[in-house]
Amino acid sequence: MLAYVDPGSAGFVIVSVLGFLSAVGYTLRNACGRLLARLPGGRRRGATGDPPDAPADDVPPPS
Amino acid sequence: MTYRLRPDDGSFRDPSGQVYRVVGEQGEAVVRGLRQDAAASMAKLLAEPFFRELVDRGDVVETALLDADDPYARPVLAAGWDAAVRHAAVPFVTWPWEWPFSMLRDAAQLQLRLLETSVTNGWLLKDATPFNVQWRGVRPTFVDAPSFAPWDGGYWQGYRQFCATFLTPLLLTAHLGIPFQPLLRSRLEGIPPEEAVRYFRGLRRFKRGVPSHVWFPAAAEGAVRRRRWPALAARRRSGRQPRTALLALLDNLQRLIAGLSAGPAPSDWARYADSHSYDDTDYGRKRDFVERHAAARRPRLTWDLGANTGTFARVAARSSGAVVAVDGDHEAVDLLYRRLRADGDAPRNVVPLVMDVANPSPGQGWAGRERAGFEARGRPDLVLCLALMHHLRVSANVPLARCLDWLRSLDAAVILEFVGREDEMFRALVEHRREDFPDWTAERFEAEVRRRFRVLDRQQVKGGARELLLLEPD
Repeated sequence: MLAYVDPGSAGFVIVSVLGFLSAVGYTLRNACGRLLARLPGGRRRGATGDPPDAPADDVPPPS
Repeated sequence: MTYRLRPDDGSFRDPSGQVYRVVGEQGEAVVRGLRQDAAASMAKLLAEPFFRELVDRGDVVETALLDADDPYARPVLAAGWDAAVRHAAVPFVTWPWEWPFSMLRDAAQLQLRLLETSVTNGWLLKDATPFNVQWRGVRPTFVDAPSFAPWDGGYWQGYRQFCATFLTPLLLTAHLGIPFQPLLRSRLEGIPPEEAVRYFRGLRRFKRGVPSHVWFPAAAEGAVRRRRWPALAARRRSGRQPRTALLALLDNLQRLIAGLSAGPAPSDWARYADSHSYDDTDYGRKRDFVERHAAARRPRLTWDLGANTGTFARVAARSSGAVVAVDGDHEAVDLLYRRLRADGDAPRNVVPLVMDVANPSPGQGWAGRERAGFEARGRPDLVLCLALMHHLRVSANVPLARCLDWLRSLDAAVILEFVGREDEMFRALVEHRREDFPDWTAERFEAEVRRRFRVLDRQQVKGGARELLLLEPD
């Protein structure tokens, strides 16, 4: 009978839990970013906590 | 003139529409027939500024509603559809099991970006499959406009499909070094969580993204399967999700995927462009030979078989409509893709693909035709087959006559490089093999070629150890 249960049935629970956790993480990251930006000499970060300059892909020059 | 209608074998799952190839006066066009409600939704979508911006940026394929008296719309409407939209065609359709890691990663990021933009503007993407992403050169473009649907606040039902077809394959390669291509080639629906979780045992289950997007979904699905909670099935239809939670989840996935890389050291083939056996003069001659004959023919579609890191695909691209650069070595193809993306002066019409020429992609899915095999997706006008035949003969053990039969069956001009027995690369290839391949001689090769092709031009290189030939079907 297990084969008759659509595995996607758990989708709502999974997406809800992950969405909630992601929202908490997103809020905390933004709060930390803002706090760090206000500290004297603190690193300035983007709105989502990213460093302003992301490292470039390690691509060797064309031969 | 009669407009001929050919249904796309991969377009049947969504009952609200069907894709056709319509061949008419001005060539072939991709036209989609739509039911009334889907046509109304499409008209609304086409009027949305955010959608027009996505199309202008090239993230979504150009789409336009056709008038009922448009010659390309008429046969579609006559087939019983209420409306017809025309999509721009991509030069060569590809499947995710032919993409290197970086292409699947960029396609995943496009999918998430489109979903984020849609949700912000009150729309949603109904599904999340890499089959909806195609390539114009090294630029991914979303080709399934009817996937956009007005968002009613419901939860993201495409999450499971996104994980099975994008995220899990990327995690397997990035964290465990397992190539995802053979898995996706055999499982068109992707890798489900209960299967994915078996790859991540012991401490591997704590690798980035695995606890939340592999382990937890597998555990939740297992619990639902065992207990068959009917309440959950009901919520599946009516469940809602706050916009902020959905956007945060998309942000989480985008950050996770941006941090993934294939990682391993470059293969011998990825270094080939810098370490091949040619001196500068002969390499220049080879380049000139390819450039001259490609320029004279101006092919609409060129295949470069055994393209390696794409040196000659780039040369042919200058005079080709599009070049499909195929190689079995993942690192070489991934490097080609990343170089084409990073180099502002690189040609924009080269599509790099990972595929073993001795085992090309077969027809897949329903009736073996839903995802067409490599050769069924468009015939080339020119084929580059440079220093490949000896690999097919020795490594894949395919007889020379069969290799040439296959090349002839493509019915295209061929630029072929023959590597003779005395070439050091051939000697290295056979050095540790029991068989000596006595049939691999210049005389035998010449005779077999002349049975199938006319030799229009030829040039010896490396002191006669190799020869370049321009062939045309006889």
